Amino acid sequence: MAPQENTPTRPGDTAVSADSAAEALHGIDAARERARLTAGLTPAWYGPVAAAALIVPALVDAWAQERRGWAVFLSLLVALAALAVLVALVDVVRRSSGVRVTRPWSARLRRGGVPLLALLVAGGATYGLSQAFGADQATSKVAVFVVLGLGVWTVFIARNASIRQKLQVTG
Amino acid sequence: MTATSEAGGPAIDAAINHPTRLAVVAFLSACDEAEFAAVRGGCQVSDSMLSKIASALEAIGYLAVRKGYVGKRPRTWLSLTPAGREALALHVAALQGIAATARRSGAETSRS
Repeated sequence: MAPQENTPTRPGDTAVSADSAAEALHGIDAARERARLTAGLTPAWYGPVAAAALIVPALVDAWAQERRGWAVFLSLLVALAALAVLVALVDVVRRSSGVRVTRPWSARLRRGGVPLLALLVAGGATYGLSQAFGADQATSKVAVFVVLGLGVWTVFIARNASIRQKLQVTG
Repeated sequence: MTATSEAGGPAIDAAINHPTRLAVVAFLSACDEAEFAAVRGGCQVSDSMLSKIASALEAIGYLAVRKGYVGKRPRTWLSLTPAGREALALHVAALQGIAATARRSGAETSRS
């Protein structure tokens, strides 16, 4: 922990030894890394809300398939509301984050690309398995979205845990 | 405020030379802006100390303070000004120069 001082030891003191310079450079790198890591943390509620926004519309859709009529209209409304929630989540998290960083698109894709690919593969495998076990279309769809929802939740939990671990190391 | 070797060149900046101030400035240099509590946690300083540092750096134009709300909760956001970013860049360059000179002289001593 850095000493709790606010002013230089001697006003205008700019004499720095080589060891102090190396230590200061290390401190700068560590502080920057902590800022970057903190910016990547997502609130704990983000995962479950994102999971619900994926799973609930699929469940309502499966339920509406059997009823038709107004139930289909309701399922459409729920799907649109879930989409709005997902879009709003991104903005809410960006605004409520303690550290704001503008990441280039390449970094965003790198950050989200691997988990997204893994989720799509898991969703595809779930659909394939459901079909192989003779499940109907609605059940397969629910299974896929349950896997996607829980997968998204798991990604956020794993990412937060990894960031907290790195923060402890850099701290 | 700076011990400038040449105008606009790398220089140790007395205003950010202290480790705590340097940590705050370095933390803010990696983001657009950060909430007071996040900086306090990231730099492991107390509320009062960060408040003093922020006021001092704001007074010399290195740091900008923005007050706002998230929902109904009041929040204070800190960010580095362009002058602050430039000061840090020059400070880092000066530190790198000192470290590099020490490495070179160490290597020459070991050769001779």
